[in-house]
Amino acid sequence: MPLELETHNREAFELVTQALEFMDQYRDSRDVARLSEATVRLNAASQKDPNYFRARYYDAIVDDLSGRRESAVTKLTELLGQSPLLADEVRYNLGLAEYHGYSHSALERAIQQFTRVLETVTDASLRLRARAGLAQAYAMHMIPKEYDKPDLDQIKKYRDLALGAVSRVFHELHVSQLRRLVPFGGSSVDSSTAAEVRWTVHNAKGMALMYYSDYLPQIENDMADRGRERQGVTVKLALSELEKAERIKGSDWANRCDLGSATMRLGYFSREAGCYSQAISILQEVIDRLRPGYGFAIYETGRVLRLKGDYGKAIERFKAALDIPETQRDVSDRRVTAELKRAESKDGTFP
Amino acid sequence: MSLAFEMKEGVPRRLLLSALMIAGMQLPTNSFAVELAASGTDASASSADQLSIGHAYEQAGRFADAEAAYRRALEIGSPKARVDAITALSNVVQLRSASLLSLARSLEDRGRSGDAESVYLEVLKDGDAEARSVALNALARLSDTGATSAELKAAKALEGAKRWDEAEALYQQVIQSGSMAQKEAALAGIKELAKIRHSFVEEEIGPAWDTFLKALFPTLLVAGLILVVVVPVGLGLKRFYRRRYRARLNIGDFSRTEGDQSPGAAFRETLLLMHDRMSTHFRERTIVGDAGKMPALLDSSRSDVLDLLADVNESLVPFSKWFSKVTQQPGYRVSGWTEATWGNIKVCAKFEHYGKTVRQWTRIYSLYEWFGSEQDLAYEVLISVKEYTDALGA
Repeated sequence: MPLELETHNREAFELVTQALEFMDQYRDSRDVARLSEATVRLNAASQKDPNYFRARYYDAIVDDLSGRRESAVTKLTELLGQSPLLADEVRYNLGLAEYHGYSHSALERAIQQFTRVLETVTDASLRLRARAGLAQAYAMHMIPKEYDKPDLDQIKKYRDLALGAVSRVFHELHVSQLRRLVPFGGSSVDSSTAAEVRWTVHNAKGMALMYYSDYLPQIENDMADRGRERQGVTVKLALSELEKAERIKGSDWANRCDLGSATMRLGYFSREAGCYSQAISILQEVIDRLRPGYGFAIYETGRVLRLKGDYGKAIERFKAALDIPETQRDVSDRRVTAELKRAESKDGTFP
Repeated sequence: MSLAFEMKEGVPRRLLLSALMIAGMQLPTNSFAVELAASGTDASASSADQLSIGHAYEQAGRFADAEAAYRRALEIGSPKARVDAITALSNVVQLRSASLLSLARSLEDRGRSGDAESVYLEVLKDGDAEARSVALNALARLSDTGATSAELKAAKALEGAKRWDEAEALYQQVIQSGSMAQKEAALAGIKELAKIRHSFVEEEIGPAWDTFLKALFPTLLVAGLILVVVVPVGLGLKRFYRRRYRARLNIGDFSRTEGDQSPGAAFRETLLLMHDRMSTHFRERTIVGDAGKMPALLDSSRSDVLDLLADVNESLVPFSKWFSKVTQQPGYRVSGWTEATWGNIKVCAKFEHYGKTVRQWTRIYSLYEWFGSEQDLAYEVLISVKEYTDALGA
């Protein structure tokens, strides 16, 4: 039986409606328990009507939002193979789920999906979201596979791509805003989508500046003290972008983690007092409330403690991170182990 | 070069005449003025034109034509033009009477008593009060001089002109002072007059006709107003609201009578609740992307402002109803009815797009089954609407 976009089973419809309401509540509160409620209802809806496309599609999205990105990728890939329904939307969400893998290979798959959406779609809203996703994927791709063997050309290339995509999105947002002012000005993006896209590109720009600051002296051949000062300035710019994103959509766990990481870097580059404590408090809120037990946040807290010189506590954090399965941690075993070794050898350098 | 040669072809002559008069210019000849006036006696001439035409005839001494022109001005003119027409009319009647009296006297002086009598009778029929009095005296004088029955003739003339009171007075005068034969003729005249005055036509048909005209006029006026104003405005409004509400949905009442309490009568409420639920479901979300939209509802209630006005003035109620009907132009409509017996409920529903039926449902449920199935049917109807509108938008 082919999948149907809408169901003729009212109970299945009601269950999906309830799930959507839980997703709305999650968007407002960032309470991940709402997503669990949504999953229960979506699974029940799929049982009532196994051919109900929306139930399965939303289930994959909730998986991604809940951090079960591998499951999301599997379900979205399956949907793309089974049905042409909402193919562009599904592909965009597949790109998003791949992006949440954060590894170079996953990011390359995300870039591929977003690029494909941009090639095939004419809808202004979806195009903007795809380009914003692309900016994030390029920015994340700037993190080198090994911290001590960075490919500086690649870092510079992806920084340019990320900032280029960010500029393009801002330009398209302005055009869309102008269109809304002019009668018969063509299709424009609604305000909630515009806010979501704006959040995404501020986050992407913040990440691009932050990761660039890590290797700025090597890339720009400026190894003297001035290089470190410029690293501090760049991180401040990154923080400003991430704070803009925070103002648009507060309490997002991903942006909060980036804020924690940028504050940590500011502490290291500018030696400003209190930055490490502030970074730990930001990351701890993610671990306690925004995404309980999130592996990457635990790992990043360990890094802050290492830079702070609190090696014992740092080692505890890295070990706690390693206890979380790699698939749910968003940071590879290799990176955590490398950081653990650096803490054990009382290495207080960065990156 | 004479003025007649200067006239350009195609310039309305009556306008030229009016223009000349307004400018205070003397017309070249009376015959030219009459020619101009004669060309402007068509029914389409305005009251101002008619006054000008009347004036031209008056100046040319054609008082009867002038009077006719002033009377036309009186019928079609504005209040001000009517006042002017009345003044001119009374003036021309006086002039005409004076002219006729002068002619009659001249004839009388030449010994042509018969012709003089005819002219006096003419004055008696259409002249002003003073002239009629002079004409009457003259007729009496002619009677004294041997022109017998002039008063009787005058009475007959007045009777013909439907001036019955004056005719009767003359008959009475003849009865008092005339010869026996004249008295008999006068008596017969009075009897005939009484018959006419009390005839069925005068007593029944005349008033009935007047009443009919009085009643018909407002009706014709309203009908004309509807044809000229309401119909085109209604069509324009309908077109505008049809376009404006092309993506709106109206859900009709499923109860058969107002306040119907039978099972199934509240199916409209179930449809409205389901529409609300589905609108929540299909609301645009950035998390899940565009899911298409449910057509928004078009409330069938009338405009609050019009309702308020209708409450203040009852005569606005029909207008309020008409306006409400004209503005309710949803692109999509769900309507139908329910019928309940002791054990069953029959539901008939249809979904229309601009009056064309897209889908129909006829279902019979047992009462027990209905409470579980009502929402299912509401969902089935509305999901059909959603799928149809999505397909149209694709």
